[in-house]
Amino acid sequence: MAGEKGSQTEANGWTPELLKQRRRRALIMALALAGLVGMFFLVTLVRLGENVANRAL
Amino acid sequence: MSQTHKAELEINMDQASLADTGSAADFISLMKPRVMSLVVFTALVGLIMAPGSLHPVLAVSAVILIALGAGASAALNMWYDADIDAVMARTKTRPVPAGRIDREDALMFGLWMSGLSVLSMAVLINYASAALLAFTIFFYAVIYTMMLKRRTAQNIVIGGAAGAFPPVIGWVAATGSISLEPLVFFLIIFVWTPPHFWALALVKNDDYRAANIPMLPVTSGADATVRQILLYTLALAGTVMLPYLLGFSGTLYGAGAGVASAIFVGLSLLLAVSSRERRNRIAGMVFAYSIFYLFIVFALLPADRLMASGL
Repeated sequence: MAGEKGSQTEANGWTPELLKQRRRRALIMALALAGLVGMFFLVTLVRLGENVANRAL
Repeated sequence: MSQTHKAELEINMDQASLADTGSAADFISLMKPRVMSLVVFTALVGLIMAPGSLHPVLAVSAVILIALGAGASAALNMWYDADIDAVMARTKTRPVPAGRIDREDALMFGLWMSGLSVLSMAVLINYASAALLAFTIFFYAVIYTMMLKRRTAQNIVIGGAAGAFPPVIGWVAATGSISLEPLVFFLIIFVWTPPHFWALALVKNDDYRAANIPMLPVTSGADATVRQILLYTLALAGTVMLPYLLGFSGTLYGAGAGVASAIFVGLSLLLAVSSRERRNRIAGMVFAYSIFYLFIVFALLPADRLMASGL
Protein backbone atom coordinates (compact mmCIF):
# COMPACT_ATOMS: atom_id res chain seq x y z
CA MET A 1 0.00 0.00 0.00
CA ALA A 2 2.72 2.43 1.04
CA GLY A 3 4.85 1.48 -1.96
CA GLU A 4 1.87 1.99 -4.25
CA LYS A 5 1.28 5.44 -2.74
CA GLY A 6 4.98 6.31 -3.08
CA SER A 7 5.10 5.38 -6.75
CA GLN A 8 1.88 7.33 -7.38
CA THR A 9 3.47 10.38 -5.77
CA GLU A 10 6.57 10.04 -7.92
CA ALA A 11 4.34 9.70 -10.98
CA ASN A 12 2.77 13.05 -10.01
CA GLY A 13 6.21 14.61 -10.04
CA TRP A 14 6.86 14.61 -6.28
CA THR A 15 10.30 13.05 -5.97
CA PRO A 16 11.53 12.05 -2.48
CA GLU A 17 13.83 15.07 -2.59
CA LEU A 18 10.92 17.46 -3.28
CA LEU A 19 8.82 15.84 -0.56
CA LYS A 20 11.69 16.25 1.91
CA GLN A 21 12.03 19.89 0.88
CA ARG A 22 8.30 20.45 1.36
CA ARG A 23 8.34 18.81 4.80
CA ARG A 24 11.28 20.99 5.86
CA ARG A 25 9.55 24.13 4.58
CA ALA A 26 6.34 23.21 6.40
CA LEU A 27 8.28 22.58 9.61
CA ILE A 28 10.02 25.97 9.43
CA MET A 29 6.69 27.67 8.69
CA ALA A 30 5.16 25.93 11.73
CA LEU A 31 8.06 27.06 13.91
CA ALA A 32 7.75 30.64 12.61
CA LEU A 33 4.02 30.63 13.37
CA ALA A 34 4.66 29.22 16.84
CA GLY A 35 7.23 31.98 17.36
CA LEU A 36 4.69 34.59 16.31
CA VAL A 37 2.08 33.16 18.68
CA GLY A 38 4.69 33.19 21.46
CA MET A 39 5.55 36.80 20.68
CA PHE A 40 1.88 37.87 20.82
CA PHE A 41 1.46 35.98 24.11
CA LEU A 42 4.52 37.57 25.73
CA VAL A 43 3.64 41.09 24.57
CA THR A 44 0.11 40.61 25.88
CA LEU A 45 1.53 39.61 29.27
CA VAL A 46 3.81 42.68 29.31
CA ARG A 47 1.03 45.07 28.25
CA LEU A 48 -1.43 43.51 30.67
CA GLY A 49 1.12 43.76 33.49
CA GLU A 50 1.75 47.44 32.73
CA ASN A 51 -1.96 48.25 32.69
CA VAL A 52 -2.65 46.36 35.92
CA ALA A 53 0.27 48.08 37.67
CA ASN A 54 -0.79 51.52 36.44
CA ARG A 55 -4.56 51.21 37.07
CA ALA A 56 -6.36 53.64 39.32
CA LEU A 57 -7.08 52.14 42.74
CA MET B 1 -18.16 13.74 -8.37
CA SER B 2 -16.94 10.55 -10.06
CA GLN B 3 -13.89 8.77 -8.65
CA THR B 4 -11.97 9.29 -11.94
CA HIS B 5 -12.66 13.02 -11.97
CA LYS B 6 -11.69 13.32 -8.29
CA ALA B 7 -8.39 11.51 -8.93
CA GLU B 8 -7.67 13.75 -11.93
CA LEU B 9 -8.36 16.84 -9.84
CA GLU B 10 -6.00 15.62 -7.09
CA ILE B 11 -3.25 15.01 -9.66
CA ASN B 12 -3.78 18.51 -11.14
CA MET B 13 -3.63 20.10 -7.70
CA ASP B 14 -0.44 18.18 -6.95
CA GLN B 15 1.11 19.32 -10.19
CA ALA B 16 0.07 22.93 -9.59
CA SER B 17 1.67 22.93 -6.18
CA LEU B 18 4.84 21.44 -7.67
CA ALA B 19 5.70 24.92 -8.95
CA ASP B 20 6.02 25.89 -5.30
CA THR B 21 9.25 24.00 -4.77
CA GLY B 22 11.52 26.59 -3.20
CA SER B 23 13.34 25.36 -0.12
CA ALA B 24 13.21 27.17 3.22
CA ALA B 25 16.69 28.54 2.46
CA ASP B 26 15.39 29.95 -0.83
CA PHE B 27 12.60 31.80 0.98
CA ILE B 28 15.11 33.13 3.49
CA SER B 29 17.38 34.39 0.70
CA LEU B 30 14.29 36.03 -0.86
CA MET B 31 14.37 38.32 2.18
CA LYS B 32 17.98 39.48 1.48
CA PRO B 33 19.31 38.51 4.92
CA ARG B 34 22.56 40.48 4.55
CA VAL B 35 20.69 43.73 3.85
CA MET B 36 18.30 42.79 6.65
CA SER B 37 21.17 42.51 9.15
CA LEU B 38 22.14 46.17 8.57
CA VAL B 39 18.46 47.18 8.84
CA VAL B 40 18.10 45.30 12.13
CA PHE B 41 21.29 46.84 13.50
CA THR B 42 20.37 50.44 12.65
CA ALA B 43 16.80 49.93 13.94
CA LEU B 44 18.21 48.54 17.18
CA VAL B 45 20.44 51.61 17.55
CA GLY B 46 17.36 53.82 17.02
CA LEU B 47 15.59 51.89 19.80
CA ILE B 48 18.55 52.08 22.20
CA MET B 49 19.16 55.79 21.61
CA ALA B 50 15.51 56.71 22.21
CA PRO B 51 14.74 58.32 25.58
CA GLY B 52 13.00 56.26 28.24
CA SER B 53 13.04 52.52 28.42
CA LEU B 54 11.12 50.00 26.38
CA HIS B 55 10.41 46.59 27.91
CA PRO B 56 12.91 44.06 26.44
CA VAL B 57 10.06 41.87 25.11
CA LEU B 58 8.59 44.85 23.25
CA ALA B 59 12.03 45.92 21.97
CA VAL B 60 12.83 42.43 20.63
CA SER B 61 9.34 42.19 19.07
CA ALA B 62 9.77 45.59 17.37
CA VAL B 63 13.15 44.60 15.91
CA ILE B 64 11.77 41.24 14.67
CA LEU B 65 8.83 43.01 13.00
CA ILE B 66 11.09 45.61 11.37
CA ALA B 67 13.24 42.72 10.06
CA LEU B 68 10.12 41.00 8.69
CA GLY B 69 9.06 44.23 6.99
CA ALA B 70 12.52 44.61 5.43
CA GLY B 71 12.35 40.99 4.25
CA ALA B 72 8.90 41.60 2.77
CA SER B 73 10.08 44.59 0.76
CA ALA B 74 13.09 42.55 -0.46
CA ALA B 75 10.76 39.76 -1.64
CA LEU B 76 8.59 42.30 -3.49
CA ASN B 77 11.75 43.75 -5.06
CA MET B 78 12.83 40.29 -6.24
CA TRP B 79 9.35 39.61 -7.63
CA TYR B 80 9.34 42.81 -9.70
CA ASP B 81 13.01 42.70 -10.74
CA ALA B 82 13.12 39.01 -11.74
CA ASP B 83 13.65 39.94 -15.41
CA ILE B 84 16.67 42.19 -14.81
CA ASP B 85 18.04 39.95 -12.04
CA ALA B 86 18.21 37.14 -14.61
CA VAL B 87 20.50 39.26 -16.83
CA MET B 88 22.98 40.29 -14.14
CA ALA B 89 25.75 37.90 -13.03
CA ARG B 90 25.48 39.21 -9.44
CA THR B 91 21.77 38.41 -9.16
CA LYS B 92 20.99 35.62 -11.61
CA THR B 93 21.38 32.93 -8.93
CA ARG B 94 18.66 34.53 -6.79
CA PRO B 95 15.72 32.14 -6.19
CA VAL B 96 13.25 33.72 -8.66
CA PRO B 97 15.50 34.18 -11.74
CA ALA B 98 17.11 30.78 -11.05
CA GLY B 99 13.61 29.22 -11.15
CA ARG B 100 13.65 27.84 -7.61
CA ILE B 101 10.70 30.03 -6.54
CA ASP B 102 7.76 31.05 -8.73
CA ARG B 103 7.42 34.78 -9.36
CA GLU B 104 3.84 34.73 -8.07
CA ASP B 105 4.95 32.91 -4.93
CA ALA B 106 7.55 35.62 -4.28
CA LEU B 107 4.80 38.25 -4.70
CA MET B 108 2.41 36.48 -2.34
CA PHE B 109 5.20 35.89 0.19
CA GLY B 110 6.12 39.59 0.07
CA LEU B 111 2.51 40.77 0.39
CA TRP B 112 1.67 38.42 3.27
CA MET B 113 4.85 39.32 5.12
CA SER B 114 4.16 43.03 4.58
CA GLY B 115 0.65 42.71 5.98
CA LEU B 116 1.78 40.54 8.87
CA SER B 117 4.66 42.81 9.91
CA VAL B 118 2.69 46.07 9.67
CA LEU B 119 -0.45 44.76 11.40
CA SER B 120 1.59 43.10 14.16
CA MET B 121 3.54 46.32 14.64
CA ALA B 122 0.25 48.23 15.00
CA VAL B 123 -1.19 45.74 17.50
CA LEU B 124 1.94 45.02 19.52
CA ILE B 125 3.99 48.25 19.44
CA ASN B 126 2.21 51.43 18.25
CA TYR B 127 0.37 52.85 15.24
CA ALA B 128 3.03 55.43 14.37
CA SER B 129 5.80 52.83 13.95
CA ALA B 130 3.41 50.59 11.98
CA ALA B 131 2.57 53.48 9.64
CA LEU B 132 6.28 54.23 9.16
CA LEU B 133 7.03 50.56 8.48
CA ALA B 134 4.22 50.41 5.91
CA PHE B 135 5.53 53.57 4.23
CA THR B 136 9.08 52.16 4.14
CA ILE B 137 7.90 48.95 2.44
CA PHE B 138 5.84 51.02 -0.03
CA PHE B 139 8.77 53.36 -0.69
CA TYR B 140 11.22 50.53 -1.40
CA ALA B 141 8.86 48.32 -3.42
CA VAL B 142 6.89 50.95 -5.34
CA ILE B 143 8.80 54.26 -5.39
CA TYR B 144 12.32 52.80 -5.70
CA THR B 145 11.86 49.40 -7.38
CA MET B 146 8.93 50.14 -9.71
CA MET B 147 9.26 53.86 -10.38
CA LEU B 148 12.88 54.97 -10.01
CA LYS B 149 15.29 52.08 -10.53
CA ARG B 150 14.81 51.68 -14.28
CA ARG B 151 14.14 55.37 -15.06
CA THR B 152 16.71 57.68 -13.53
CA ALA B 153 20.38 57.80 -12.53
CA GLN B 154 19.14 59.41 -9.30
CA ASN B 155 17.38 56.10 -8.45
CA ILE B 156 19.65 55.31 -5.54
CA VAL B 157 19.79 58.91 -4.27
CA ILE B 158 16.02 59.14 -3.77
CA GLY B 159 15.52 55.42 -3.15
CA GLY B 160 18.14 55.55 -0.41
CA ALA B 161 15.42 56.95 1.86
CA ALA B 162 13.95 53.45 2.16
CA GLY B 163 17.12 52.16 3.81
CA ALA B 164 17.33 55.24 6.02
CA PHE B 165 13.98 54.69 7.77
CA PRO B 166 14.81 51.72 10.10
CA PRO B 167 16.49 53.74 12.91
CA VAL B 168 13.55 56.18 12.75
CA ILE B 169 11.10 53.25 13.06
CA GLY B 170 13.15 51.95 16.02
CA TRP B 171 12.97 55.35 17.69
CA VAL B 172 9.23 55.76 17.04
CA ALA B 173 8.62 52.21 18.31
CA ALA B 174 10.20 53.23 21.63
CA THR B 175 8.72 56.70 21.99
CA GLY B 176 5.65 56.90 19.77
CA SER B 177 6.91 60.25 18.48
CA ILE B 178 9.63 61.74 16.32
CA SER B 179 12.37 64.26 17.16
CA LEU B 180 15.63 65.67 15.83
CA GLU B 181 17.85 62.68 16.70
CA PRO B 182 16.15 60.05 14.48
CA LEU B 183 16.06 62.57 11.65
CA VAL B 184 19.84 62.91 11.94
CA PHE B 185 20.19 59.09 11.86
CA PHE B 186 17.99 59.10 8.74
CA LEU B 187 20.18 61.77 7.13
CA ILE B 188 23.38 59.80 7.83
CA ILE B 189 22.10 56.67 6.01
CA PHE B 190 20.50 58.79 3.27
CA VAL B 191 23.82 60.52 2.43
CA TRP B 192 25.78 57.25 2.87
CA THR B 193 23.69 55.29 0.35
CA PRO B 194 24.79 56.90 -2.98
CA PRO B 195 28.59 56.45 -2.55
CA HIS B 196 27.95 52.91 -1.24
CA PHE B 197 25.88 51.86 -4.28
CA TRP B 198 27.85 53.82 -6.86
CA ALA B 199 31.04 52.04 -5.74
CA LEU B 200 29.23 48.74 -6.34
CA ALA B 201 27.86 50.03 -9.66
CA LEU B 202 31.42 50.84 -10.80
CA VAL B 203 32.52 47.26 -10.12
CA LYS B 204 29.37 45.77 -11.70
CA ASN B 205 29.07 48.30 -14.52
CA ASP B 206 28.83 45.64 -17.25
CA ASP B 207 26.00 43.94 -15.36
CA TYR B 208 23.98 47.16 -15.01
CA ARG B 209 24.60 48.08 -18.66
CA ALA B 210 23.47 44.63 -19.83
CA ALA B 211 20.30 44.95 -17.73
CA ASN B 212 19.75 48.51 -19.02
CA ILE B 213 19.58 50.00 -15.53
CA PRO B 214 20.54 53.70 -15.58
CA MET B 215 23.05 53.61 -12.73
CA LEU B 216 25.35 56.64 -12.69
CA PRO B 217 28.40 54.84 -14.22
CA VAL B 218 26.17 53.67 -17.09
CA THR B 219 24.59 57.07 -17.81
CA SER B 220 27.46 59.44 -16.98
CA GLY B 221 30.60 57.30 -17.04
CA ALA B 222 33.15 56.28 -14.43
CA ASP B 223 34.87 59.70 -14.16
CA ALA B 224 31.65 61.50 -13.21
CA THR B 225 30.78 58.68 -10.79
CA VAL B 226 34.06 58.81 -8.86
CA ARG B 227 33.67 62.61 -8.55
CA GLN B 228 30.14 62.15 -7.18
CA ILE B 229 31.37 59.48 -4.76
CA LEU B 230 33.99 61.89 -3.44
CA LEU B 231 31.47 64.75 -3.09
CA TYR B 232 28.95 62.56 -1.27
CA THR B 233 31.65 61.15 1.00
CA LEU B 234 32.69 64.70 1.95
CA ALA B 235 29.03 65.55 2.64
CA LEU B 236 28.75 62.36 4.69
CA ALA B 237 31.84 63.28 6.74
CA GLY B 238 30.00 66.48 7.74
CA THR B 239 26.66 64.76 8.32
CA VAL B 240 28.02 62.09 10.70
CA MET B 241 29.38 64.85 12.94
CA LEU B 242 25.85 66.21 13.54
CA PRO B 243 25.15 64.00 16.61
CA TYR B 244 28.34 65.39 18.18
CA LEU B 245 27.75 68.99 17.07
CA LEU B 246 24.10 68.94 18.19
CA GLY B 247 25.14 67.58 21.56
CA PHE B 248 23.45 64.20 21.69
CA SER B 249 26.72 62.29 21.35
CA GLY B 250 30.06 62.86 23.05
CA THR B 251 33.79 62.74 22.41
CA LEU B 252 34.02 58.98 21.79
CA TYR B 253 31.49 59.26 18.97
CA GLY B 254 32.96 62.49 17.60
CA ALA B 255 36.53 61.14 17.51
CA GLY B 256 35.56 57.68 16.21
CA ALA B 257 33.24 58.98 13.51
CA GLY B 258 35.86 61.57 12.53
CA VAL B 259 38.57 58.92 12.05
CA ALA B 260 36.20 56.56 10.19
CA SER B 261 35.15 59.43 7.89
CA ALA B 262 38.76 60.47 7.24
CA ILE B 263 39.49 56.92 6.02
CA PHE B 264 36.35 56.93 3.85
CA VAL B 265 37.25 60.31 2.31
CA GLY B 266 40.84 59.08 1.79
CA LEU B 267 39.62 55.97 -0.06
CA SER B 268 37.24 58.04 -2.20
CA LEU B 269 40.08 60.43 -3.02
CA LEU B 270 42.27 57.46 -3.97
CA LEU B 271 39.43 56.23 -6.21
CA ALA B 272 39.11 59.67 -7.84
CA VAL B 273 42.81 59.83 -8.77
CA SER B 274 43.28 56.13 -9.60
CA SER B 275 44.08 54.88 -13.09
CA ARG B 276 41.46 53.04 -15.10
CA GLU B 277 43.27 49.74 -14.45
CA ARG B 278 43.13 50.10 -10.66
CA ARG B 279 39.71 51.75 -10.49
CA ASN B 280 37.61 48.61 -10.10
CA ARG B 281 39.80 47.20 -7.33
CA ILE B 282 39.65 50.46 -5.35
CA ALA B 283 35.90 50.79 -5.98
CA GLY B 284 35.54 47.31 -4.44
CA MET B 285 37.49 48.54 -1.41
CA VAL B 286 35.27 51.65 -1.13
CA PHE B 287 32.15 49.45 -1.27
CA ALA B 288 33.45 47.04 1.40
CA TYR B 289 34.63 49.88 3.63
CA SER B 290 31.30 51.72 3.31
CA ILE B 291 29.51 48.78 4.97
CA PHE B 292 32.07 48.67 7.78
CA TYR B 293 31.82 52.46 8.10
CA LEU B 294 28.05 52.50 8.64
CA PHE B 295 28.36 49.70 11.17
CA ILE B 296 31.08 51.60 13.09
CA VAL B 297 29.23 54.93 13.06
CA PHE B 298 26.01 53.34 14.35
CA ALA B 299 27.90 51.21 16.90
CA LEU B 300 29.63 54.34 18.25
CA LEU B 301 26.30 56.01 19.08
CA PRO B 302 25.22 53.57 21.85
CA ALA B 303 28.87 52.99 22.87
CA ASP B 304 29.25 56.71 23.53
CA ARG B 305 25.95 56.76 25.45
CA LEU B 306 27.17 53.81 27.54
CA MET B 307 30.47 55.54 28.29
CA ALA B 308 28.72 58.78 29.23
CA SER B 309 26.50 56.87 31.67
CA GLY B 310 29.66 55.83 33.54
CA LEU B 311 30.14 52.24 32.40
